[in-house]
Amino acid sequence: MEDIQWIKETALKLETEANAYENRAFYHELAKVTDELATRLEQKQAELDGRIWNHQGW
Amino acid sequence: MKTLVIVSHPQIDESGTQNFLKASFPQSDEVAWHELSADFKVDEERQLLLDYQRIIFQFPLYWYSMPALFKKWVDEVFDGDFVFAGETPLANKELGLVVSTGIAQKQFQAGNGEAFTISEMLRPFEMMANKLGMNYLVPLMIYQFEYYTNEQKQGLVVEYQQYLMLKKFTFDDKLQWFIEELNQQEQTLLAESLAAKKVELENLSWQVQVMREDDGEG
Repeated sequence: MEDIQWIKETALKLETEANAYENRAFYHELAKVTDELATRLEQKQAELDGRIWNHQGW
Repeated sequence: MKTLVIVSHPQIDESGTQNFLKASFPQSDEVAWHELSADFKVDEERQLLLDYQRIIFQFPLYWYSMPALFKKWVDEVFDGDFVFAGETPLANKELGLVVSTGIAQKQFQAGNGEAFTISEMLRPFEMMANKLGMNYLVPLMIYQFEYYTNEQKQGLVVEYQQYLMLKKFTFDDKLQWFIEELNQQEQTLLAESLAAKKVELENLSWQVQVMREDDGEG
């Protein structure tokens, strides 16, 4: 998840550097959506792992 | 897809909410801000409706409905001869609402102050859309804007822009919107990284779906 972390950190950095309110809002929300993306990736991977390693399916 | 936002507020210059939304309006040729004036011309209004695919009614909630001028506009522009003529000109277009209220969201539920949900209160608009053959969108509600924190306002900027511009409102579509906006801002590396994670999520979702179907879970 390092790349996701990089996306979030970059978004937050760009938020502090943005002059226009609209751009600050955009990067702030981008950071939040990155958190949601990370959660969804984790959930999907966990479900996939659970199904693959379910001994009842072997 | 072109979006027309029809705005009506009796004191629009004094409205903090409407001024905020106007400042947040997307810089795009695909969306238009149209403030109603008392001397609107019915034929011109109808032509506008024909020219756009997504129609947004934007107004403050006045006694659980729209302000008087907007209602007058609906009564005159949506005359039966127009909306039910021939090929029903508004059919298959979309109707969305951006509605603000000074009442807290939690009041709009059974057993609380307003007793009914917002969905129930806005039902006449949904009925109108159904009658006209339009696709009714989930309304974008703004509750007590005057108490919004800066973070909530930032969220509203993006939510409002997406409401006007996205064809669909899935997480995938919202991600794609961010990617396209990043490309427009020439943040190419960030856009590519986000796009790669989006593809990763799509692949994982597909794999999970296949395994669910194999397990008989559809």
